[in-house]
Amino acid sequence: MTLPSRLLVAISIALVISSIVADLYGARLESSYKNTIPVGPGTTLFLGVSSLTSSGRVRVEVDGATNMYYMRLTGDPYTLVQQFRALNLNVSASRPQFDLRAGVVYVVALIQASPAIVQALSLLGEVIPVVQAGGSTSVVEARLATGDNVVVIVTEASKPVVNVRVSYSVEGYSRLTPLQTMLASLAIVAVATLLELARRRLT
Amino acid sequence: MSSWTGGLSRAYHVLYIDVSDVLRPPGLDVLVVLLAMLGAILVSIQPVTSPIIASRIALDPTLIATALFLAIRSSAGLATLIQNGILSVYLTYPIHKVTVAVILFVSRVVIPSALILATPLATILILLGPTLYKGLDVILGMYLAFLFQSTLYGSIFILIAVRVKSQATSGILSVAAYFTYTALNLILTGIGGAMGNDVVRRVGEALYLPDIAYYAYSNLDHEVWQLTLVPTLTILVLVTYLAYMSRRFEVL
Repeated sequence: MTLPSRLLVAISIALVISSIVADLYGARLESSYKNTIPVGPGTTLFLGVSSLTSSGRVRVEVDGATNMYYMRLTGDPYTLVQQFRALNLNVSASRPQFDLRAGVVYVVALIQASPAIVQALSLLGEVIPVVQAGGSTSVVEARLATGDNVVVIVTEASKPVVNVRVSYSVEGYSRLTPLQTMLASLAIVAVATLLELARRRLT
Repeated sequence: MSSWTGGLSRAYHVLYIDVSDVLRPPGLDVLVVLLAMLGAILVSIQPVTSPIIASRIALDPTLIATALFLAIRSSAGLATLIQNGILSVYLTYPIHKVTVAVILFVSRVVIPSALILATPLATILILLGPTLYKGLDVILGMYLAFLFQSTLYGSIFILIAVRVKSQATSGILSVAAYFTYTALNLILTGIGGAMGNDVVRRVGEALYLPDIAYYAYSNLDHEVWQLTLVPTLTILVLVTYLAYMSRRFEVL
């Protein structure tokens, strides 16, 4: 076989196998995160949602927040939490939760510095106060490009614990279905066969 | 005119023979199937919507495999040609020694690198077509960055091969050179960052062109000279290789 035919066959084999794997374990277009977090006096809840490889729309709902802010950042929110430590802010807990199949990461941290953290974050970008829409639920909605973050900060809560719900839906992603991939692979094999037949006829 | 076309024809003949040797089955075939599959799986298990990230995910592991292919098949294979006396046959052709050296560089470094790196990209472009077609220019830019990086590795390996003229030594030294280069990149970046020395950090980063291309496309912090370091190093190594081949190289 000629080199182009060999490469075409290699691509068609890779397409079929990767399509099967993608169908079984492939990307998900929805992701969610729920947590109940104790927020004591003087403690700030920091929640970062970062789109690692995807882009999409995020909706953050927080029950029990009296004072809540949000801001948009680029970069890694987990690195931001590490930087808070470098600023001598007491980060009492932090945990990133990756959802690889949706290409998003959620970072939750509790920081012992309520007013200072808003001031520190305002150096990085515009910190926007969130007005409660009704009842006790505060909602933040944002569209995230790849590598963007939305950071939600709760500096004061009306209850000892706040409930956080995050939903993230991927936008702008599509890939071939297994059937389409199979047809594409067959077409590639057909091209390779035609190339081989043409070569044998010419030589 | 006829002698010029005759020379070109002879050069093409040598190129064809040497490419057929380097890319002979089944080594290349198995490698490209595995790499294309790996790249396609890596970009389809997560919803990659950015062409820059898709090309990086597919090409980062491919570059490592390409470097090892160049070290073992291309460079050590060239040393075998020298040991077996086949390179002497190439040199008996009425072609200038430098032309043979350029042909060996093209057939053993540029063509294998271009083909191996292109296969996973072609696969992900078919699989994620509607998502990635909007960024074809970015994908091409990232491909060229990876190709330059691979060409730098290959030019170092081929210089080692013609210098040591031994298959085993050439293979070992090439693999060692690859890992030394990679370690140097990490060490300089780490030391520069830790000591707050911006120049050292930037030199360390610039040793890996795909990172700088990624920074440039993502509007992250970089300097324009960082984009030129790897191409400059490639040209320097290539000139050294050609000078060695034309002046000091002796077949065994």
